[in-house]
Amino acid sequence: MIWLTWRQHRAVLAVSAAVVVAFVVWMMIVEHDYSTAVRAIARSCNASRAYSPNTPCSALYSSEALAWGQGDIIRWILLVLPLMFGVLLGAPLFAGEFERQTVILAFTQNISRTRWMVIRWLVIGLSVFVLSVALAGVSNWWFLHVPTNGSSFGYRIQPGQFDVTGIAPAAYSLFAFALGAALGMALRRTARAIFGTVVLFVAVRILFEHYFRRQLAAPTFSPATVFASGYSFDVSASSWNVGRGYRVRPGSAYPTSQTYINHIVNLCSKPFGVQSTGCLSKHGVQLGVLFQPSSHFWTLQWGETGSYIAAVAALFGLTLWSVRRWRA
Amino acid sequence: MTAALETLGLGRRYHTTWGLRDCTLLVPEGTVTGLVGPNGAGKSTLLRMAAGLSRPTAGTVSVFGSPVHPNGTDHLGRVGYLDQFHPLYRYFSVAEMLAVGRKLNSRWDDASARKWLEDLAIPLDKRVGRLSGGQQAQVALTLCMAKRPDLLLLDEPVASLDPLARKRLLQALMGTVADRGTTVFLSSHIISELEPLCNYLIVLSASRVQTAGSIDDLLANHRLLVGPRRDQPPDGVEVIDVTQTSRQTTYLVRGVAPTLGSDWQSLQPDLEEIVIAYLTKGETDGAPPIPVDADSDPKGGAA
Repeated sequence: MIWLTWRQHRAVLAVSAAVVVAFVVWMMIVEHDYSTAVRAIARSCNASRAYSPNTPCSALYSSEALAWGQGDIIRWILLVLPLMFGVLLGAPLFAGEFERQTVILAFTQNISRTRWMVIRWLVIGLSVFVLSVALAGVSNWWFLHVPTNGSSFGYRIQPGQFDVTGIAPAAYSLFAFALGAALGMALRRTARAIFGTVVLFVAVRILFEHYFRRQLAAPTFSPATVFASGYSFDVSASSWNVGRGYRVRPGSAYPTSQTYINHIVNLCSKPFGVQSTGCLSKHGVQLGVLFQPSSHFWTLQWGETGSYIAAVAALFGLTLWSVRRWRA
Repeated sequence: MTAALETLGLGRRYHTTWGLRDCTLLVPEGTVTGLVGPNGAGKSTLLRMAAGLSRPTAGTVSVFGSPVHPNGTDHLGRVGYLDQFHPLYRYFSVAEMLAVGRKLNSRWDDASARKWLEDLAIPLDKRVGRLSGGQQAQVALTLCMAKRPDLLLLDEPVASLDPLARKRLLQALMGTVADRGTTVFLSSHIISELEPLCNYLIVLSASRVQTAGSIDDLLANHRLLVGPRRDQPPDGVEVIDVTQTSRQTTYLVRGVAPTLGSDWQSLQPDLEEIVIAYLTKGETDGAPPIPVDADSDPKGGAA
């Protein structure tokens, strides 16, 4: 069965591997060009020290990174690549067998449906795992060498860069694959399964990013700095700002329950949803900002990875159930 | 006689219509049993349930005494199933198709499979998709035979073949089956094709079994009564089919034929006539009774 799965998919596995390898080679070339350029800047900067002693050379590197448009193209490709696994390897995995009716051949050999499904899924799923982990390794190495500061994707804790850094991208790939396989089994048509995979994958990723990821770690609270004429928030640029928040001033005698805070926020509300900081302060409530500091990066990464892997396990179970339930 | 395949009240419903209904039959071990019926009679439905591909809506199906479940594995090693569309992996070479069979079956006879394909002049290194339809059917049948099944289920094995390929395939099949004593259950809508191969016959029409039995019994138990026009059906005998013209009446009856008069002849029907009579009966059962004079009645429901 392992041989059969490999034989049936070797061409498309080779294409997937070729895409990943070609992309990795391109990343390495870009990294090499960047390092060469940075070294050249360093040399000329050091040589010209005498003329502009106040400009540190590192500022020049950053401006060079800003101009590095290829970095964003690479990030966009990294963002989309998981879908390739869902479309090329996931969707046809079962749908193709039903379209060509070869499932009838498979189900009348001396091998149980469960074994057929599990081996098929695992052989291709493991290939996706190896390719996507290798890709994640290379991209993390790349981001260490080519600075992220100038990228429009932001810092690694922020949505965008977060999605192409760490281990989560490998989980996205596995999720896309498992989603494609499950939809292929449910719809039994490759084209429909591909369409469904693209739509659902994008929808799940967006929903998770905007609603669920921020809940994977308790956000940090930073009180607003209040001036006579208003207030300002002070959050590091490398944090992920997740919204406005309130808390009872630490050490005060006021009740710390959420009910109390909500009550005071309502009490102090002016039109247009703006609160008077004076009114809040009088009742011991502080206005501030909630954010995920960069130190939460790995907590969020593992939380996100775990959630997607749980979804992969559920999709695997659904696919197996559907295979066993199928009847000609 | 033990049953290679036995069904009891077997039925399969597709949404609101029954693909097969109340099917109770027994295929004795070691026989070659033909399943005849028009297109859509339920032949493929029956064979697919016997192969464990489909789950019955009603009743049971057993192979060598043990019930068949779609997720069961007991029947898989003993049953060979050839689908009417003989699906194969089109991008595999013939040798790779044999490797599939070898890796997925415990009782695989690789030497015979290779020998057989060699005799048929099917090159092992050719891609399956490049073979002719007849050759693909031969490869699919080879896969079924090489797993050395005790029961071989063949759904329209020769439907898509030209007469020569048809003859070759059936000869090859019967030669091997005779050597091994395999039970064969094959469907077809061409009666003349089944007669020389089979010793048992099951007639399926309108999703129900119309008759079943050995070909010898079928021939011995039916008579064709031909005589002058008569509107009253004969007593004490089961009339399967009636053919009326203005001057002549023909009854196909089952059982001992009664004597209707000196101007009546009792003839031996051939197998095709018997089968067609049952197929006609199956189509008209449940419909209004056959009008006495089918030729002159414009509302006749039997036509």
